[in-house]
Amino acid sequence: MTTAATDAREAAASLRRVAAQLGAHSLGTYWRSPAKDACEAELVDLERAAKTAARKLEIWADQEGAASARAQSL
Amino acid sequence: MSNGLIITTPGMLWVSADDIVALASAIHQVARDIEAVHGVVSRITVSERDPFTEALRSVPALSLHPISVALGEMVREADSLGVALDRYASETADQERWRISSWEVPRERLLTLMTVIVGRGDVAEAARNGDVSHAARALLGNAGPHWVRVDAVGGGESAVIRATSIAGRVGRIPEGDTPIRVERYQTAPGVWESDVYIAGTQDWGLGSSTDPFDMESNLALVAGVSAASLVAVHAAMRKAGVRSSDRVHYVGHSQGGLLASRVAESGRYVTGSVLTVGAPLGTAPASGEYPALAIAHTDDLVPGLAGAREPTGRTIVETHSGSAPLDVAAAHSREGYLHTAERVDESPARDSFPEWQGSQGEAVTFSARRERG
Repeated sequence: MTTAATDAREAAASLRRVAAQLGAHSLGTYWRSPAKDACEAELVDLERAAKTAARKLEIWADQEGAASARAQSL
Repeated sequence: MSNGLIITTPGMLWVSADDIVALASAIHQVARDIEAVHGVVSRITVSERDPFTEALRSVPALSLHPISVALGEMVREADSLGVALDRYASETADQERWRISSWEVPRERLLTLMTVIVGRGDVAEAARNGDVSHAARALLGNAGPHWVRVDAVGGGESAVIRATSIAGRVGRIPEGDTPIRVERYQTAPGVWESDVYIAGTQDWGLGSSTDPFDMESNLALVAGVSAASLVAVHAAMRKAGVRSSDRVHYVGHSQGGLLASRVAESGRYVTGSVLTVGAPLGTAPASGEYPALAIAHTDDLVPGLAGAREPTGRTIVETHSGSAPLDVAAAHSREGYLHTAERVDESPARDSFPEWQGSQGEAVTFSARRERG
Protein backbone atom coordinates (compact mmCIF):
# COMPACT_ATOMS: atom_id res chain seq x y z
CA MET A 1 0.00 0.00 0.00
CA THR A 2 1.30 3.46 -0.89
CA THR A 3 1.75 6.25 1.63
CA ALA A 4 -1.01 8.20 -0.10
CA ALA A 5 -3.45 5.27 0.20
CA THR A 6 -2.47 4.70 3.84
CA ASP A 7 -2.96 8.40 4.63
CA ALA A 8 -6.34 8.36 2.91
CA ARG A 9 -7.42 5.28 4.89
CA GLU A 10 -6.34 6.87 8.17
CA ALA A 11 -8.18 10.08 7.26
CA ALA A 12 -11.27 7.99 6.46
CA ALA A 13 -11.00 6.20 9.83
CA SER A 14 -10.76 9.59 11.60
CA LEU A 15 -13.87 10.76 9.80
CA ARG A 16 -15.74 7.58 10.79
CA ARG A 17 -14.85 8.28 14.45
CA VAL A 18 -16.09 11.86 14.06
CA ALA A 19 -19.35 10.57 12.53
CA ALA A 20 -19.82 8.11 15.42
CA GLN A 21 -19.22 10.93 17.91
CA LEU A 22 -21.77 13.13 16.16
CA GLY A 23 -24.29 10.28 16.07
CA ALA A 24 -23.93 9.66 19.80
CA HIS A 25 -24.86 13.23 20.75
CA SER A 26 -28.34 14.34 21.56
CA LEU A 27 -29.88 17.64 22.53
CA GLY A 28 -32.33 15.85 24.80
CA THR A 29 -36.10 15.84 24.66
CA TYR A 30 -36.95 18.55 27.14
CA TRP A 31 -36.48 21.67 25.09
CA ARG A 32 -38.55 22.46 22.05
CA SER A 33 -37.81 25.34 19.76
CA PRO A 34 -37.12 26.03 16.07
CA ALA A 35 -33.52 26.83 17.02
CA LYS A 36 -33.12 23.38 18.56
CA ASP A 37 -34.67 21.72 15.49
CA ALA A 38 -32.22 23.62 13.27
CA CYS A 39 -29.25 22.57 15.43
CA GLU A 40 -30.36 18.93 15.39
CA ALA A 41 -30.79 18.98 11.60
CA GLU A 42 -27.28 20.44 11.20
CA LEU A 43 -25.92 17.76 13.51
CA VAL A 44 -27.48 15.03 11.34
CA ASP A 45 -26.21 16.72 8.12
CA LEU A 46 -22.70 16.91 9.53
CA GLU A 47 -22.74 13.26 10.55
CA ARG A 48 -23.94 12.25 7.07
CA ALA A 49 -21.29 14.43 5.38
CA ALA A 50 -18.55 12.86 7.53
CA LYS A 51 -19.69 9.34 6.56
CA THR A 52 -19.88 10.28 2.87
CA ALA A 53 -16.40 11.83 2.88
CA ALA A 54 -15.03 8.78 4.74
CA ARG A 55 -16.56 6.44 2.14
CA LYS A 56 -15.12 8.48 -0.74
CA LEU A 57 -11.69 8.49 0.88
CA GLU A 58 -11.85 4.69 1.30
CA ILE A 59 -12.77 4.27 -2.39
CA TRP A 60 -10.00 6.66 -3.36
CA ALA A 61 -7.52 4.70 -1.23
CA ASP A 62 -8.59 1.44 -2.92
CA GLN A 63 -8.18 2.99 -6.36
CA GLU A 64 -4.88 4.59 -5.45
CA GLY A 65 -3.59 1.28 -4.05
CA ALA A 66 -4.60 -0.59 -7.20
CA ALA A 67 -3.20 2.08 -9.55
CA SER A 68 0.03 2.16 -7.64
CA ALA A 69 0.32 -1.64 -7.79
CA ARG A 70 -0.25 -1.58 -11.55
CA ALA A 71 2.30 1.19 -12.02
CA GLN A 72 4.88 -0.83 -10.10
CA SER A 73 4.17 -4.01 -12.06
CA LEU A 74 4.81 -2.33 -15.41
CA MET B 1 -25.36 17.41 34.47
CA SER B 2 -28.44 19.37 35.42
CA ASN B 3 -30.01 18.63 32.05
CA GLY B 4 -31.83 21.84 31.32
CA LEU B 5 -33.25 22.49 34.77
CA ILE B 6 -33.67 25.99 36.11
CA ILE B 7 -32.61 25.97 39.72
CA THR B 8 -33.42 28.87 42.03
CA THR B 9 -31.86 28.79 45.44
CA PRO B 10 -32.47 31.48 48.04
CA GLY B 11 -30.64 34.50 46.71
CA MET B 12 -29.71 33.28 43.25
CA LEU B 13 -31.06 32.00 39.97
CA TRP B 14 -29.10 30.04 37.46
CA VAL B 15 -30.21 28.32 34.35
CA SER B 16 -28.20 25.32 33.53
CA ALA B 17 -28.10 24.22 29.95
CA ASP B 18 -24.76 22.54 30.47
CA ASP B 19 -25.64 19.55 28.30
CA ILE B 20 -25.99 21.93 25.37
CA VAL B 21 -22.81 23.76 26.33
CA ALA B 22 -21.00 20.40 26.54
CA LEU B 23 -22.26 19.47 23.08
CA ALA B 24 -21.14 22.84 21.70
CA SER B 25 -17.69 22.19 23.12
CA ALA B 26 -17.66 18.71 21.55
CA ILE B 27 -18.69 20.15 18.18
CA HIS B 28 -15.87 22.69 18.32
CA GLN B 29 -13.51 19.74 18.90
CA VAL B 30 -15.12 17.88 15.99
CA ALA B 31 -14.38 20.91 13.80
CA ARG B 32 -10.69 20.72 14.80
CA ASP B 33 -10.65 16.94 14.08
CA ILE B 34 -12.12 17.46 10.61
CA GLU B 35 -9.65 20.31 10.06
CA ALA B 36 -6.81 17.90 10.85
CA VAL B 37 -8.23 15.37 8.37
CA HIS B 38 -8.56 18.16 5.81
CA GLY B 39 -4.88 18.99 6.32
CA VAL B 40 -3.86 15.35 5.82
CA VAL B 41 -5.98 14.97 2.66
CA SER B 42 -4.73 18.22 1.12
CA ARG B 43 -1.12 17.02 1.57
CA ILE B 44 -1.68 13.63 -0.12
CA THR B 45 0.19 13.41 -3.40
CA VAL B 46 -0.92 10.96 -6.05
CA SER B 47 1.59 8.39 -7.27
CA GLU B 48 2.64 8.47 -10.87
CA ARG B 49 0.22 6.53 -13.03
CA ASP B 50 0.74 4.70 -16.26
CA PRO B 51 -1.32 6.65 -18.84
CA PHE B 52 -2.03 3.52 -20.88
CA THR B 53 -3.53 1.61 -17.86
CA GLU B 54 -5.47 4.68 -16.79
CA ALA B 55 -6.97 4.94 -20.26
CA LEU B 56 -8.30 1.37 -19.97
CA ARG B 57 -10.18 2.06 -16.72
CA SER B 58 -13.92 1.51 -16.93
CA VAL B 59 -14.55 3.90 -14.05
CA PRO B 60 -12.81 7.29 -13.97
CA ALA B 61 -10.39 7.74 -11.08
CA LEU B 62 -11.88 9.53 -8.10
CA SER B 63 -10.31 12.91 -7.56
CA LEU B 64 -9.25 14.00 -4.08
CA HIS B 65 -10.02 17.63 -4.81
CA PRO B 66 -13.82 17.48 -4.31
CA ILE B 67 -13.31 15.50 -1.08
CA SER B 68 -10.88 18.13 0.15
CA VAL B 69 -13.36 20.89 -0.72
CA ALA B 70 -16.12 18.99 1.10
CA LEU B 71 -13.93 18.62 4.20
CA GLY B 72 -13.20 22.36 4.20
CA GLU B 73 -16.94 22.99 4.03
CA MET B 74 -17.53 20.56 6.92
CA VAL B 75 -15.03 22.43 9.09
CA ARG B 76 -16.94 25.66 8.48
CA GLU B 77 -20.29 23.93 9.16
CA ALA B 78 -19.05 22.37 12.41
CA ASP B 79 -17.67 25.71 13.62
CA SER B 80 -20.95 27.37 12.71
CA LEU B 81 -22.93 24.66 14.54
CA GLY B 82 -20.76 25.06 17.64
CA VAL B 83 -21.42 28.81 17.68
CA ALA B 84 -25.16 28.18 17.10
CA LEU B 85 -25.25 25.78 20.05
CA ASP B 86 -23.47 28.30 22.29
CA ARG B 87 -26.04 30.89 21.26
CA TYR B 88 -28.87 28.37 21.70
CA ALA B 89 -27.79 27.58 25.27
CA SER B 90 -27.74 31.27 26.11
CA GLU B 91 -31.07 32.00 24.40
CA THR B 92 -32.69 28.96 26.04
CA ALA B 93 -31.83 30.41 29.41
CA ASP B 94 -33.33 33.77 28.46
CA GLN B 95 -36.43 32.16 26.98
CA GLU B 96 -37.08 30.08 30.07
CA ARG B 97 -36.79 33.16 32.28
CA TRP B 98 -39.24 34.94 29.98
CA ARG B 99 -41.61 31.98 29.93
CA ILE B 100 -41.73 31.80 33.71
CA SER B 101 -42.43 35.50 34.03
CA SER B 102 -44.99 35.46 31.22
CA TRP B 103 -46.96 32.63 32.79
CA GLU B 104 -47.58 34.56 35.99
CA VAL B 105 -50.10 36.96 34.46
CA PRO B 106 -52.16 34.31 32.58
CA ARG B 107 -52.39 32.27 35.76
CA GLU B 108 -53.83 35.18 37.69
CA ARG B 109 -56.18 35.90 34.79
CA LEU B 110 -57.33 32.30 35.05
CA LEU B 111 -58.30 32.79 38.67
CA THR B 112 -60.13 35.99 37.75
CA LEU B 113 -61.99 34.13 35.03
CA MET B 114 -62.90 31.39 37.49
CA THR B 115 -64.31 33.88 39.94
CA VAL B 116 -66.23 35.67 37.20
CA ILE B 117 -67.80 32.36 36.26
CA VAL B 118 -68.76 31.86 39.88
CA GLY B 119 -70.27 35.34 39.67
CA ARG B 120 -68.96 36.93 42.83
CA GLY B 121 -68.11 40.59 42.24
CA ASP B 122 -66.10 40.98 45.45
CA VAL B 123 -63.98 37.96 44.51
CA ALA B 124 -63.40 39.22 40.99
CA GLU B 125 -62.31 42.63 42.29
CA ALA B 126 -59.84 41.05 44.72
CA ALA B 127 -58.48 38.85 41.97
CA ARG B 128 -58.16 41.83 39.60
CA ASN B 129 -56.16 43.60 42.26
CA GLY B 130 -53.79 40.66 42.26
CA ASP B 131 -54.53 39.64 45.83
CA VAL B 132 -55.11 35.95 45.28
CA SER B 133 -55.35 34.97 48.93
CA HIS B 134 -58.05 37.65 49.52
CA ALA B 135 -59.89 36.44 46.45
CA ALA B 136 -59.77 32.86 47.70
CA ARG B 137 -61.01 33.95 51.12
CA ALA B 138 -63.87 35.94 49.62
CA LEU B 139 -64.82 33.03 47.39
CA LEU B 140 -64.72 30.61 50.28
CA GLY B 141 -66.86 32.64 52.67
CA ASN B 142 -67.08 31.30 56.19
CA ALA B 143 -66.24 27.62 55.88
CA GLY B 144 -66.78 26.89 59.55
CA PRO B 145 -65.24 23.94 61.42
CA HIS B 146 -64.15 20.86 59.52
CA TRP B 147 -65.35 17.39 60.46
CA VAL B 148 -63.04 14.84 58.95
CA ARG B 149 -62.79 11.08 59.43
CA VAL B 150 -59.42 9.44 58.80
CA ASP B 151 -58.97 5.64 58.64
CA ALA B 152 -55.93 3.43 58.16
CA VAL B 153 -56.47 1.13 55.18
CA GLY B 154 -55.03 -2.22 54.15
CA GLY B 155 -54.90 -3.66 57.65
CA GLY B 156 -52.68 -0.95 59.14
CA GLU B 157 -48.89 -0.99 59.14
CA SER B 158 -46.74 -2.71 56.53
CA ALA B 159 -42.96 -3.07 56.32
CA VAL B 160 -41.23 -0.65 53.94
CA ILE B 161 -37.71 0.32 52.89
CA ARG B 162 -37.17 4.06 53.06
CA ALA B 163 -37.07 5.95 49.75
CA THR B 164 -33.70 7.66 49.44
CA SER B 165 -33.96 9.54 46.14
CA ILE B 166 -36.10 12.51 45.11
CA ALA B 167 -37.74 10.37 42.42
CA GLY B 168 -38.29 7.51 44.88
CA ARG B 169 -40.09 9.92 47.18
CA VAL B 170 -42.22 11.51 44.48
CA GLY B 171 -43.17 8.00 43.35
CA ARG B 172 -44.59 7.26 46.82
CA ILE B 173 -47.04 10.17 46.83
CA PRO B 174 -50.43 8.44 47.04
CA GLU B 175 -53.36 9.01 44.73
CA GLY B 176 -57.04 8.16 44.77
CA ASP B 177 -58.87 7.08 47.90
CA THR B 178 -55.83 7.04 50.18
CA PRO B 179 -54.40 10.56 50.03
CA ILE B 180 -52.06 10.31 53.03
CA ARG B 181 -49.19 7.91 53.65
CA VAL B 182 -47.07 7.99 56.79
CA GLU B 183 -43.82 6.02 57.11
CA ARG B 184 -41.94 5.79 60.43
CA TYR B 185 -38.28 4.87 60.88
CA GLN B 186 -36.30 4.34 64.06
CA THR B 187 -32.94 6.00 63.37
CA ALA B 188 -31.50 5.40 66.87
CA PRO B 189 -32.88 3.92 70.09
CA GLY B 190 -35.88 6.06 70.99
CA VAL B 191 -35.34 8.39 68.01
CA TRP B 192 -37.94 8.32 65.24
CA GLU B 193 -38.21 10.00 61.89
CA SER B 194 -41.37 10.11 59.81
CA ASP B 195 -41.91 10.55 56.10
CA VAL B 196 -45.34 11.98 55.29
CA TYR B 197 -46.60 11.73 51.71
CA ILE B 198 -49.63 13.82 50.73
CA ALA B 199 -51.70 13.58 47.54
CA GLY B 200 -53.03 16.48 45.50
CA THR B 201 -56.60 17.53 44.83
CA GLN B 202 -58.81 14.48 44.35
CA ASP B 203 -62.14 16.22 43.80
CA TRP B 204 -62.61 19.54 42.01
CA GLY B 205 -65.96 20.21 43.64
CA LEU B 206 -66.54 23.32 45.74
CA GLY B 207 -68.56 22.87 48.89
CA SER B 208 -70.38 19.69 47.95
CA SER B 209 -67.69 17.04 48.08
CA THR B 210 -67.14 14.45 50.82
CA ASP B 211 -63.44 14.32 49.86
CA PRO B 212 -61.44 16.75 52.02
CA PHE B 213 -58.86 17.00 49.22
CA ASP B 214 -61.21 19.13 47.13
CA MET B 215 -61.29 22.60 45.61
CA GLU B 216 -62.70 24.08 48.80
CA SER B 217 -59.60 22.95 50.69
CA ASN B 218 -57.44 24.34 47.89
CA LEU B 219 -59.01 27.76 48.27
CA ALA B 220 -58.80 27.59 52.06
CA LEU B 221 -55.08 26.80 51.91
CA VAL B 222 -54.42 29.60 49.42
CA ALA B 223 -56.47 31.91 51.65
CA GLY B 224 -54.31 30.89 54.59
CA VAL B 225 -57.17 29.56 56.69
CA SER B 226 -57.89 26.10 58.05
CA ALA B 227 -58.76 23.43 55.50
CA ALA B 228 -60.42 20.02 55.79
CA SER B 229 -57.42 18.38 54.12
CA LEU B 230 -55.10 20.03 56.64
CA VAL B 231 -57.19 18.60 59.47
CA ALA B 232 -57.01 15.19 57.74
CA VAL B 233 -53.19 15.29 57.52
CA HIS B 234 -52.81 16.21 61.19
CA ALA B 235 -55.27 13.45 62.16
CA ALA B 236 -53.45 10.83 60.04
CA MET B 237 -50.09 11.77 61.53
CA ARG B 238 -51.53 11.51 65.02
CA LYS B 239 -53.07 8.10 64.24
CA ALA B 240 -49.77 6.86 62.77
CA GLY B 241 -48.08 7.66 66.07
CA VAL B 242 -46.01 10.66 64.94
CA ARG B 243 -44.87 12.55 68.02
CA SER B 244 -44.01 16.23 68.34
CA SER B 245 -40.36 15.31 68.93
CA ASP B 246 -40.17 13.34 65.65
CA ARG B 247 -38.22 14.76 62.73
CA VAL B 248 -40.70 14.76 59.86
CA HIS B 249 -39.94 14.84 56.13
CA TYR B 250 -42.88 15.96 54.00
CA VAL B 251 -43.55 15.14 50.36
CA GLY B 252 -46.58 16.49 48.51
CA HIS B 253 -48.00 16.91 45.04
CA SER B 254 -50.19 19.89 44.11
CA GLN B 255 -52.51 20.64 47.08
CA GLY B 256 -50.45 18.04 48.99
CA GLY B 257 -47.39 20.25 48.51
CA LEU B 258 -49.18 23.25 49.94
CA LEU B 259 -50.34 21.09 52.86
CA ALA B 260 -46.78 19.85 53.39
CA SER B 261 -45.57 23.43 53.50
CA ARG B 262 -48.30 24.47 55.97
CA VAL B 263 -47.70 21.53 58.36
CA ALA B 264 -43.93 22.02 58.13
CA GLU B 265 -44.28 25.66 59.11
CA SER B 266 -46.80 24.94 61.87
CA GLY B 267 -44.07 24.06 64.35
CA ARG B 268 -46.11 21.14 65.63
CA TYR B 269 -43.34 18.71 64.66
CA VAL B 270 -39.61 19.04 63.97
CA THR B 271 -39.41 19.57 60.23
CA GLY B 272 -36.66 17.57 58.53
CA SER B 273 -37.36 18.59 54.93
CA VAL B 274 -40.14 19.55 52.54
CA LEU B 275 -40.32 18.30 48.96
CA THR B 276 -43.16 19.59 46.79
CA VAL B 277 -44.05 19.01 43.14
CA GLY B 278 -46.56 21.10 41.19
CA ALA B 279 -47.69 22.90 44.34
CA PRO B 280 -49.38 26.33 44.33
CA LEU B 281 -47.02 27.69 46.96
CA GLY B 282 -47.37 31.38 46.07
CA THR B 283 -46.69 33.29 49.25
CA ALA B 284 -46.52 30.14 51.44
CA PRO B 285 -43.49 30.69 53.62
CA ALA B 286 -40.44 28.49 53.99
CA SER B 287 -38.44 29.66 56.96
CA GLY B 288 -35.14 28.35 55.65
CA GLU B 289 -34.48 26.42 58.86
CA TYR B 290 -34.91 23.13 56.99
CA PRO B 291 -34.19 22.04 53.41
CA ALA B 292 -37.17 22.80 51.16
CA LEU B 293 -37.23 21.88 47.50
CA ALA B 294 -40.07 22.82 45.14
CA ILE B 295 -40.25 21.34 41.65
CA ALA B 296 -42.56 23.10 39.19
CA HIS B 297 -43.13 22.66 35.48
CA THR B 298 -43.12 25.92 33.57
CA ASP B 299 -46.14 24.73 31.54
CA ASP B 300 -48.09 23.64 34.64
CA LEU B 301 -50.75 26.20 35.55
CA VAL B 302 -51.25 25.03 39.13
CA PRO B 303 -48.01 26.27 40.79
CA GLY B 304 -48.99 29.85 39.85
CA LEU B 305 -52.60 29.67 41.04
CA ALA B 306 -51.65 30.97 44.46
CA GLY B 307 -50.34 34.19 42.96
CA ALA B 308 -46.92 35.63 42.35
CA ARG B 309 -44.11 33.82 44.10
CA GLU B 310 -42.47 35.56 47.01
CA PRO B 311 -38.79 35.01 47.86
CA THR B 312 -38.53 32.25 50.46
CA GLY B 313 -35.98 29.88 51.89
CA ARG B 314 -36.79 27.09 49.45
CA THR B 315 -34.85 25.87 46.46
CA ILE B 316 -36.97 25.90 43.33
CA VAL B 317 -36.36 23.74 40.28
CA GLU B 318 -38.27 24.65 37.15
CA THR B 319 -38.32 23.03 33.76
CA HIS B 320 -40.69 22.31 30.92
CA SER B 321 -42.58 19.05 31.42
CA GLY B 322 -42.05 17.93 27.86
CA SER B 323 -45.81 17.55 27.47
CA ALA B 324 -47.61 18.58 24.31
CA PRO B 325 -48.63 22.26 24.17
CA LEU B 326 -51.81 22.98 26.16
CA ASP B 327 -51.84 19.49 27.69
CA VAL B 328 -52.19 21.01 31.15
CA ALA B 329 -53.21 17.71 32.75
CA ALA B 330 -49.99 16.00 31.66
CA ALA B 331 -47.92 19.01 32.73
CA HIS B 332 -49.44 18.79 36.22
CA SER B 333 -49.56 14.99 36.57
CA ARG B 334 -47.65 13.18 39.28
CA GLU B 335 -46.14 10.92 36.59
CA GLY B 336 -44.80 13.96 34.75
CA TYR B 337 -43.20 15.20 37.95
CA LEU B 338 -41.78 11.75 38.65
CA HIS B 339 -39.89 11.97 35.38
CA THR B 340 -38.59 15.44 36.29
CA ALA B 341 -37.62 14.21 39.79
CA GLU B 342 -35.32 11.65 38.17
CA ARG B 343 -33.55 14.53 36.43
CA VAL B 344 -33.35 16.48 39.68
CA ASP B 345 -31.62 13.48 41.30
CA GLU B 346 -28.88 13.91 38.69
CA SER B 347 -28.66 17.68 39.17
CA PRO B 348 -26.84 19.94 41.66
CA ALA B 349 -30.22 20.65 43.30
CA ARG B 350 -30.05 17.17 44.86
CA ASP B 351 -27.14 18.38 47.01
CA SER B 352 -29.44 20.77 48.86
CA PHE B 353 -31.48 17.87 50.19
CA PRO B 354 -30.76 15.23 52.89
CA GLU B 355 -29.11 11.90 52.15
CA TRP B 356 -31.44 9.32 53.61
CA GLN B 357 -30.42 5.81 54.57
CA GLY B 358 -32.46 2.98 53.09
CA SER B 359 -33.52 1.64 56.49
CA GLN B 360 -36.58 -0.51 57.15
CA GLY B 361 -39.66 0.98 58.71
CA GLU B 362 -43.43 0.81 58.78
CA ALA B 363 -45.92 2.46 56.46
CA VAL B 364 -49.60 3.26 56.91
CA THR B 365 -51.90 4.74 54.31
CA PHE B 366 -55.04 6.61 55.23
CA SER B 367 -58.36 7.36 53.62
CA ALA B 368 -60.02 10.65 54.51
CA ARG B 369 -63.66 11.64 54.37
CA ARG B 370 -65.34 14.95 55.07
CA GLU B 371 -68.28 14.65 57.45
CA ARG B 372 -70.65 17.56 57.64
CA GLY B 373 -71.13 18.60 61.26
